[in-house]
Amino acid sequence: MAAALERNEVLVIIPAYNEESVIGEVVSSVCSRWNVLVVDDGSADETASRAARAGARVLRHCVNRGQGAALETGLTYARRRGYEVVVTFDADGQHSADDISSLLEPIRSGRADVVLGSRFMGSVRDMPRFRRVVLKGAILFTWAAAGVRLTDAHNGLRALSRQAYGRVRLRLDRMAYASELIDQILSTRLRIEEVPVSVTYTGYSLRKGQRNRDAIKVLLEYLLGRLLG
Amino acid sequence: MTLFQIIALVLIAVVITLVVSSWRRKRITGVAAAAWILLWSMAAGAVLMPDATSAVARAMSITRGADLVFYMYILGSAAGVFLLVLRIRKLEIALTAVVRELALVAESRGRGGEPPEPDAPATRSGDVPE
Repeated sequence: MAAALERNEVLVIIPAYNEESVIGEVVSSVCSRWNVLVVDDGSADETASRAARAGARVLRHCVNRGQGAALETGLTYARRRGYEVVVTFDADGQHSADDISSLLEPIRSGRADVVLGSRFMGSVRDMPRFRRVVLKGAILFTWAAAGVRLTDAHNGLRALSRQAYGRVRLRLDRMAYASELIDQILSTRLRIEEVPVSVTYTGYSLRKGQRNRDAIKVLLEYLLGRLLG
Repeated sequence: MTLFQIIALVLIAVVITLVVSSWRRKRITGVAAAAWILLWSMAAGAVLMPDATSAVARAMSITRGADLVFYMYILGSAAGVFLLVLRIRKLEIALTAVVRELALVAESRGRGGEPPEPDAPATRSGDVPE
């Protein structure tokens, strides 16, 4: 794959749960260049309708199943339609649509099958101090568990080639899917590359998102998933 | 017979009656019913003949019959919890699969049940199987 990627070859998947206040802006920022699929994970607010008004296609889970489940729904949609590349993008406004091109480049040039965004290679704004400690802990854990040293193991901004997303099947419904994804990528010997991206923490994203103590729940979910298969 | 033995045996009899009733209403299989009846019969035997548990315990190098019963209860409960966790996991996976398919079907029907969008490219390298 060496030619530039066309709009209709790329699908940006945005799992979302109760993000009505920001989803319109997030979708609009991406929609100008790429196809967007919002997977509404059983939101109790107007997330789905606002995403659709902003130009996204929308899939709706009738009950909340978790970000991993929503992402796998998006990947299933992509598999059935044969997109060349999928990009995963967070709904809370932490990511920048300008970084999508950086993610696509290694896949376009054939260097990588999976491209992971790294805030620690790029830039981070307003990250709470303890969040950095938790994320560094996740990096160490990924290194110990999967044998791969990444600079940012739990960043929701990533791109997967058709071959890559065709091979993975996420079974962990909640936040531990990120570790499961790394495991599957490594077990199928896909080529990984990290690129710098920017992540901006806002008051909204910190209130809405994962708390630091949720890292324990994520770890337990991951370990239980490994144990039970 | 002590008061405890009477109460315990009455409770065990009620449970066995419920097991038989469940089997007759085809809510559990014959094998499951037989297994439960065997288990509760053993419990009744332990209540009626507490010294028997001590004999079994000594044969297994455990000091007291009560300790043997306690250990078996702990092991049985742990196994039961593990089986329940497995079952819950299986149900969670099935639930997510159903929710996912409903979402995908609803989306395709919302577009009039059309095949993949006109703007999706013809496959370059063949369809990716799900």
